[in-house]
Amino acid sequence: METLTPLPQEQLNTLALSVEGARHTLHSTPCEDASKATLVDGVFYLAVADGHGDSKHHLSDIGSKLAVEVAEPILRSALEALSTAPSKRDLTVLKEQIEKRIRWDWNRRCKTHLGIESDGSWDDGLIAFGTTLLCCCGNDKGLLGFQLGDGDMVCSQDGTHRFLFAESPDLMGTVTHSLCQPYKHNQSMLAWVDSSDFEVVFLTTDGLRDCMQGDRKHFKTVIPWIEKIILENPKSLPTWLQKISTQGNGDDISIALYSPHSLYSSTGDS
Amino acid sequence: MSEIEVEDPLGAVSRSKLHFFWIADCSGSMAAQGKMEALNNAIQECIPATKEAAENNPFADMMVRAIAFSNGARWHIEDETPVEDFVWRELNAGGVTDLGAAIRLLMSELQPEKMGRRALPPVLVLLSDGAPTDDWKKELEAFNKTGWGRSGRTVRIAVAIGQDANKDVLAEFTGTEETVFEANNAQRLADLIKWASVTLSRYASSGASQIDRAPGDGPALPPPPPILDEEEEDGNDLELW
Repeated sequence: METLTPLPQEQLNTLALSVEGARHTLHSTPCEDASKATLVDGVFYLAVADGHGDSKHHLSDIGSKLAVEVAEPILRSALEALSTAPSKRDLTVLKEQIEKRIRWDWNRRCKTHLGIESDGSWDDGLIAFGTTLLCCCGNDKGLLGFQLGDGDMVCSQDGTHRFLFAESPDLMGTVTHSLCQPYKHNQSMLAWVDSSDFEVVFLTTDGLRDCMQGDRKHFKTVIPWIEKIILENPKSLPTWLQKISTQGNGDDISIALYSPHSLYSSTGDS
Repeated sequence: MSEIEVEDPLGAVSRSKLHFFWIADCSGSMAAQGKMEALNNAIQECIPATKEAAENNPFADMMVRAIAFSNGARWHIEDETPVEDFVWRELNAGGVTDLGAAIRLLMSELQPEKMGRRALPPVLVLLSDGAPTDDWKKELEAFNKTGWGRSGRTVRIAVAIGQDANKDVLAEFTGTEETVFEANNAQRLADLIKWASVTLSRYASSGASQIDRAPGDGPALPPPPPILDEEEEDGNDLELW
């Protein structure tokens, strides 16, 4: 089963897609990933989130959906501030502000889901919603990328693919940082990329790279192939991602992509 | 986007590896009361069930290795061996209990350069009946600071074989006393070894994300096999260690 975010005509430059992993299909568990892509007034927003998905995090499918939602207005607002006052790009301070705001809003929304009308302070009931979050927002000035937990964000230009964030030395194997933890200094990452330094932006949860032995070099080969599928036969993309999951580790896979050019050929079907 | 000739990367896709390590005490005391023989038999007997469990897991490849320690430590199974090819050669007891040497050997293999960074959490099963005779603490501290050695990156359990096993040491290895299990007879040892090999490997290969943990917070493991009534009631018929 896959969920393909419906794309209005004006949003053909963005794509977001989450496919249920083969392991989830086998065990009849829901897809715990979420993804979102929007393009409003020339500003794009991409997000993927990976719900942790074991019994301790049994509401992580909800948590991941809330994560990609709550981050959008926060990132848009931060991008606007950066674009109008570029000299104030103190990313260290901004990173903490963004992370705390995202956590606060996510906590509050999760609590509301539990029927608790409360503020956004941390509560151990939030552990059930555990999820990562990888998102970015961009305009004609540049791109602001935010990451909490695992996953990959790649900026491509002229066939060269560059990871926006280095691999965190803290995150080995299946260990990840999560929105369901209390705030802790230096868990998230934030980066700015000038618009002259990227053309295509690609986000994915860890499910995709982990099926490529976790190797970033192998993983880079996926990006041009996905671009090719989108250009030639976008309807086949969910099936292809499911094949990756089936032959690989069975995890859910989410991707989100932005290109300044239409992602769909004139003969393609959005 | 430019049109370029690219190959379908589907061919590079592979299942995740689950690295499983037996770390077996072969000190002289293991010769007493048939403990070494019981350990050999237990691992030998769990192989079919382990293979069956691995066959039923389409999303991970279980790779087995083993370390034996007594006077120093050595690889008993050095190459990562697919579980379908796993054969257990009997270990012999003799010598002292150089646990530190075993940890150092383990650490040499559990490196991001060799294991990658995105493998499933390796399962480490320590089987010991005594107290270490070398500087195990220094080696453990060094291991626990490495990428894969840090808290929550591995699934660790220890089986204390007999009354003389130093359970405090084993708890330091696993991170908590809750993951140290006592085996005071051959049947209990066999049950725990089968549980580790089958249930823990299945648990570790679930692929579920683990949120970063504070030191000392081990993962919530599946429950160990129950101690059967007949084991308790007929305990006098079993040789107690």
